[in-house]
Amino acid sequence: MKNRFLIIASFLLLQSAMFAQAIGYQGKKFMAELGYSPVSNLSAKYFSYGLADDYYDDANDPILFKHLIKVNLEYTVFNSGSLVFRYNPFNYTSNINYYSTATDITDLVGIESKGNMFAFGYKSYTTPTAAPLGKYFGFYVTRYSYSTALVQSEFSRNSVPEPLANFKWDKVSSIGLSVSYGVKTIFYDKLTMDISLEAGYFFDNAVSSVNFDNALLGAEYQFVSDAYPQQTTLINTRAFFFAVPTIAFGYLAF
Amino acid sequence: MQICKGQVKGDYQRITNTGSLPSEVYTPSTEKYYNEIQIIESDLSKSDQKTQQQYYLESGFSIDEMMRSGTVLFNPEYNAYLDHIADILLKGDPELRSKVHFYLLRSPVVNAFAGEGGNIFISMGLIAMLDNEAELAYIMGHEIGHIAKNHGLDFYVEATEIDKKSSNNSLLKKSSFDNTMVTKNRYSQTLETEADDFGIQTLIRTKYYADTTTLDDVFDVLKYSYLPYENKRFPIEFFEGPNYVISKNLQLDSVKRITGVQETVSAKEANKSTHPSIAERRKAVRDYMLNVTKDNRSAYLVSENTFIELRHIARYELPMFYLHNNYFQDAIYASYLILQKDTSSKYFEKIIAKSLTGLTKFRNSTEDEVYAEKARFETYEGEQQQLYFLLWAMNDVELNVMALNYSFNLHLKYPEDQEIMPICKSLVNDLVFYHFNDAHDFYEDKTISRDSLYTLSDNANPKLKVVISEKSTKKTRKTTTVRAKRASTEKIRADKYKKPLLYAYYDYWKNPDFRKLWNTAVDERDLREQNAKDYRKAGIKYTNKGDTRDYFNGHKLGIDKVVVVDPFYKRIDLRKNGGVEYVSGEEGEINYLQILKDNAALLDMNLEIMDPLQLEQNDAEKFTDIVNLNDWFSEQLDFGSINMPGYNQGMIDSIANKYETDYFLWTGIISLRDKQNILGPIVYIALSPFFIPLLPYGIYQLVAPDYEFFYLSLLYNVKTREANVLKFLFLDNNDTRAILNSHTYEMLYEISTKPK
Repeated sequence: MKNRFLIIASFLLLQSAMFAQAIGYQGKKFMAELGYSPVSNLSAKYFSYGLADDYYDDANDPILFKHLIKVNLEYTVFNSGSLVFRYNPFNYTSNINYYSTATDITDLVGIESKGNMFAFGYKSYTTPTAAPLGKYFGFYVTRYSYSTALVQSEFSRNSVPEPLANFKWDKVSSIGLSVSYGVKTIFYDKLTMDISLEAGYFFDNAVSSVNFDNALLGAEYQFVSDAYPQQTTLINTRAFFFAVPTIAFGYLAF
Repeated sequence: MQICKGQVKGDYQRITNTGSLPSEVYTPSTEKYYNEIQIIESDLSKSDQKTQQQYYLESGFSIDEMMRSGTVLFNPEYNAYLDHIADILLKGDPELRSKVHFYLLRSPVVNAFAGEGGNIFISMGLIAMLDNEAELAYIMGHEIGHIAKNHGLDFYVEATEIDKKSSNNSLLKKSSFDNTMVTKNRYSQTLETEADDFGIQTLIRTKYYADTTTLDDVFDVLKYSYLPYENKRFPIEFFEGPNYVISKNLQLDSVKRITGVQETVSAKEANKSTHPSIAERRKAVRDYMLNVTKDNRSAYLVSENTFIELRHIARYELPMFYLHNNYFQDAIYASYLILQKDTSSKYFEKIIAKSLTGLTKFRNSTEDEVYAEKARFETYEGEQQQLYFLLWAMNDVELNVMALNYSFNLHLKYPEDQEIMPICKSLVNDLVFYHFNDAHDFYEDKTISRDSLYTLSDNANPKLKVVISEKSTKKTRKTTTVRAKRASTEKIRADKYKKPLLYAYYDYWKNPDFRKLWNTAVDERDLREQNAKDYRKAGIKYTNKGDTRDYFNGHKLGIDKVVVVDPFYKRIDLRKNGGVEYVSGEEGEINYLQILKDNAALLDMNLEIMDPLQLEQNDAEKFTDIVNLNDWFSEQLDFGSINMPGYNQGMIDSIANKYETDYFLWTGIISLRDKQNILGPIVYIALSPFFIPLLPYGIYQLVAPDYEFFYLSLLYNVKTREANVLKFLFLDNNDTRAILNSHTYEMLYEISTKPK
């Protein structure tokens, strides 16, 4: 997967080098942006997106919002496009059922996922004006790497049993593809504002093939759900990234 | 040879702007507008106040635009002359005198009119027709009458009222648009009668001739305003040369009788006119003049010499006015009239050569026949009709041959002149491309007698049956005959009568300049044809269109210095009636000037902007340069793909030398606001339940106008006439500063960046 990511990145860089004649906005080709996205499971719900996670199948579930801060670096190529590098942390908390054979109790344990998303993409500006300015379509490849830990669930009064709390999960990653449509404009001197809507999808990661037998948690505990916690994390991420609005403010640096 | 101020020793030079520029040229119109609306009376109804504001807005901006366009001549000597006449006319009314200002219009149209702000414009076409100062004084008095009676504002208010009524009043609503026009015209006629009265009374108070004969002459000017100032026979032999003759079959047996504009008109026709009929105006004048004689009065109170001098210049300026508008026949006839007295004026001989070249090039071009076909001979009256007929009936080959014959003869006469050879080259290029494929078509050895030449010419030009009806103005059968004849000229290109025409160059062929010209043209033609073949072989569709101009999409031109000429910015709101947004348009222009400067500075580029709003009082010479460059540009746009020097190319070459660059940029923006297509916002709103942010966006789209703008930038090498289309964009966006910056930077980047 890492190789694929590098091949795509190299291809785009090569393209950029071949056509390195971009003019940029008033000669400025490089810009840095700070963006905000209120990601939500809202759109997924409207489209009746079939979430595997039990806790998001329920229509009575609250609409969830997460507040993401993104950092964007953008470099103009071809006059009508730009290469984009984006980073944002993506931390996430969910819940999963576990069963204690000793006490014959099914309880909830929280899943705390700490992740980072690195995206590399290309924005194609449709407005016939020098990039980066105007309306655009963006195409991104995102690498999402995260680590998961079982923590105290807010819905459970019981503390997390030690075998679960001590369990070390593998750090895993996934690749996602997304498309965005947006508009970038100058609102003062070299300061830009970018409003966009992005939709994407993250592919299953390799963890699904891990032989995850209950013995790993010890004889006393086993997960109730078929899904493994990492998969839960990923599936929830899919739901969140169905449609993401972003507002970003940038500075045309050089 | 008469000497006049627009003339230098030896030959005529066009009159230019001198002295101080009036503030209207370089002061933003918006400033003036805000000052003017202060005088609107506050006790008027809001609706009336708004109407008056709109009047000051529209008329003020229109006058200023005209002042900046170069149509107005700024010349202190002749302005002072008009001022002296005005002093005499308004001796007893210093207040009114202080309000009126006179200007000369560089236009061949016979007209005078009063505009907002007390500005009165008199065309040089009118001056050229007048007999004396008294006639001019009467016309000035009439126009002062419009100012004195505030007719401009009155007419605007009344016309607005009529428009309102025509949309509210059921009776008028049922009637056609014509009724509105008739009502407006009647009101306009009333105002014209008032101005006539004022003019006559003012004239009577002076010592100018104010008798019926003098005033009748003024109305005769109106009656014959569509004719040249003189009716002189035009002999077709004018274009003949030692080895070139013109068939007598191209001579009209008789020319159409001069009738003049109908003096009395029917009530129906009267309704279509803004002015009373000439007969009515003559009668009104006679009623006043019953007891006025020429005793103790004079045709001249200021200066006979100055009047004659001014009229002389006006007549000398006419040919170039006509030529600039591609009225080739008018330009030739007006030059011919002058050459009858000023027999060896290179300037007017060149105008004839340029006119023949223009007509030939347009006629040869298959793309644009607008100017070649514009002047049909049937409608023209008087001796000028012979010229119209000759140039109409002559086939394309002969016209090309004749034009080159005339032009190369001029080259031999004035070998040092820089304008004539490019004209000859242009004509030879067409001749070898359109008409003569064989370079050895010349009669090098044998001579042909003049009689034989006439016989050959007669055979090539069979006598046309031309029946000219003086009553019928509608297109009748004779138009069909005309069409048939034009079609037959196609045959001439290939038939046996074509070759003998080249005998016209029998003597020239011995001239190395001419041989070089011809051989170069043939080589260039063959090279173009070879290139076309190569393209076709490579599977690329390509047609060799001869000596045409290509428009390039300029990339990395590496030009060191560029002069931007009179950039424009217009804003139009298509949702409103009229729709021109004057104030924001002018602000936009000022912004655009700044954007050009800022982006040039970012690129460290040598960019000079020539814009009237950037001028100062003493920049008359620079203003004249702007006018000449704009004239050149508009000519080149008319030429389209026809590759031809500008009609005033010598002047343009000298301007390029003065500004130390050959590259001049014409650029501008038209910003539009239109009704929003309702479908888009509805779709956004309909989708908003799925994605909430679409709702405010949809609502915004519903109320916001649909923004569009057109961005044009053409860069010319004014010496070679090579053109680069840098911007020809129609964008579906608001023309925000950011977007304009982006495009302007890109444009200037392509101009200034050197290719690797």
